[in-house]
Amino acid sequence: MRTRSGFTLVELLVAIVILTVVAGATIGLLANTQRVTHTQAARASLQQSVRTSASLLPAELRELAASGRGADLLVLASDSITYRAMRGLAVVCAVSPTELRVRAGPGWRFGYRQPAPGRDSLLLFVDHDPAAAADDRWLPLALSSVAPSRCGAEPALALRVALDTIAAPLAAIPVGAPVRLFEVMQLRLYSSAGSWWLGARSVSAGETLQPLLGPLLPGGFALTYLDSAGTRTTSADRVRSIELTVRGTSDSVRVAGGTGVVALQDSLVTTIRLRNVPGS
Amino acid sequence: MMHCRNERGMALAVAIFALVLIGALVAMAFFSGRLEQRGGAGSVYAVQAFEAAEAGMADVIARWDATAFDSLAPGSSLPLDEASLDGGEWYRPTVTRLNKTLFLVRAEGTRRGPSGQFLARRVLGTLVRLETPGVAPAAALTAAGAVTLSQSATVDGRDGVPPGWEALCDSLGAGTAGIRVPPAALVSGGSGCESLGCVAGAPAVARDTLVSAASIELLGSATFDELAARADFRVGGTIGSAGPRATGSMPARCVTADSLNWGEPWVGGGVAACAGYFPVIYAPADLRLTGGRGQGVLLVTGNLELSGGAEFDGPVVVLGAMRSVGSGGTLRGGLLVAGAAVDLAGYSRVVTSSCAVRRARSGAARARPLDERSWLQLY
Repeated sequence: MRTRSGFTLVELLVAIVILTVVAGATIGLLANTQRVTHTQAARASLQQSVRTSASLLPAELRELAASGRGADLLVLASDSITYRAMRGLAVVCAVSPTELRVRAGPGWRFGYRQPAPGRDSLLLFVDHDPAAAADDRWLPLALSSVAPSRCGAEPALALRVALDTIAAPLAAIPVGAPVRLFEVMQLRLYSSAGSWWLGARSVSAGETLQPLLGPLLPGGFALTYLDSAGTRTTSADRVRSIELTVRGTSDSVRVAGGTGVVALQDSLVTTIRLRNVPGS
Repeated sequence: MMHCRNERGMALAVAIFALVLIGALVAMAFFSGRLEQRGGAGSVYAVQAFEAAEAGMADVIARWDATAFDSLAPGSSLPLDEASLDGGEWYRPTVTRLNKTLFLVRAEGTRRGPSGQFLARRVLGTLVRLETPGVAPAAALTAAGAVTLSQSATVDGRDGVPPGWEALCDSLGAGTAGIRVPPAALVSGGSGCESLGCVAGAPAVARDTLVSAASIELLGSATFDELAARADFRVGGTIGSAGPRATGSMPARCVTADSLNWGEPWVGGGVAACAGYFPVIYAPADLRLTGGRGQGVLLVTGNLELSGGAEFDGPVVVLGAMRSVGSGGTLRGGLLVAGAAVDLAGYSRVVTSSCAVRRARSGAARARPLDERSWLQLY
């Protein structure tokens, strides 16, 4: 008698049913887990984008001087701002009507980067009467070239400028006078390929808008300018703080347990107190 | 009887594959969450480091060490001790002298982990201007009104050095007039000071058309009111116990928050921790000094009465009247009185001291952020 090995029809049917149930449950679990993972990644990306705005934009804006002579807030709008972005500090070690030499040795490099002619301009501190603060001035100067130089034995940078010696007599620019470096920047909400982005560009360098944050919701970047009482103002010299609202969105994701696809949203509201304004 | 069954199937393989896949997806979700959590924590650390740096700058400016910073040569820096705030935030300030009047105060703020590792770092700066009281007495006693001297009172325009200050005063000046008054002001000497023999100086009495109550209120580049507005503290009434105050702990620190701490003029024999402390003291009404000692700049809107051997080194400006009685007191530096009368009696001494004025002005100098664009982000 031959020994027959194999499954009976009943065994096979039971096995197929069990396998189908197990496979169905596994696939469902896999699909759900994948949705959770995708949703989590999209949420993390969205929150990262919004969080970046909370660190980047205050760092860019809080150093602005909003009042007094030569304010830094140039054009104010609810979805854009044009301003003088501070990029560094230097200290004068020698001065002539055509050149400022600034210290460049170790311990004297303060800033975001080296001065760049065409992109950057200068604000020179002019101290007419060292005993009095009322006559202090920050004099804007165009920067035409930068070259390595020396102040005695110390490394220095020679900044080529055209100094108005009537507005700023050389005697009013002592050794040690600070020089601030700035470029004119613009932040603006814009639309590209159906998505909204916060763009940034150097106006003084003639750049085009480059995406900084996004994608955002329509109207997802809003600035509200507040005076010392916390009231909205459109006057640049009265601005004491800027309320920033960023509303971000994600790529469409299928949420676990949901039926359709949705875009996640997140928002952030923060108030940037300007440091270089009266009463700050 | 045992059967050795040769069973085949893929259930185990499928189950293992599914578990691995699910495990990988769950791990990805956890990893993503972990990244998110770390990103959020990083933002918090960055803000904490920023706040620590701001606290460091504010601390240096609020507790400006005029003696230490004034000794810095232009272009040189003084790193200060690192200090911690609650919660793992630290700041390390550095003061750099840019020139005679400008300083850059930098502070590196850090947020550290439990084992001291750096989690975030920010460097901020403030440009500050040194504001030095401009008061410069041109006589031992400058008065807008009548001056009466009697008993053992003396006024000496010869440049003197406060006791114990010899090593601190490089050179003596040429001296000043003893008394400087408007041309029509009455200057008289009573018993003990006949013929103004108690007044010394070059000249003993100078009559100057520039002296008036208004001119006395102009103290260099600032007015009396402007200087009073930035006084370290306000006092009034009767004070007999002004003097140095220091902590008992070692090293002793001068307690500058105490309004009766007027510094230590007794160099070498007093409270050393307060020898470099020169407050600007403002009395908005009358002030009676019945003893004690101090140094700095004393501003009195009302009348000043001196008794009990009170001592003060540095300029004293009084908008009201001035009188001394009994054992009087000693003022070294220069006394300016805008009121109608000065009546010095008892054992009172008013002495010119260019060194006392210089040290008081330098020590009473205070740092103030520039009016515009003082705050810096130094990356």
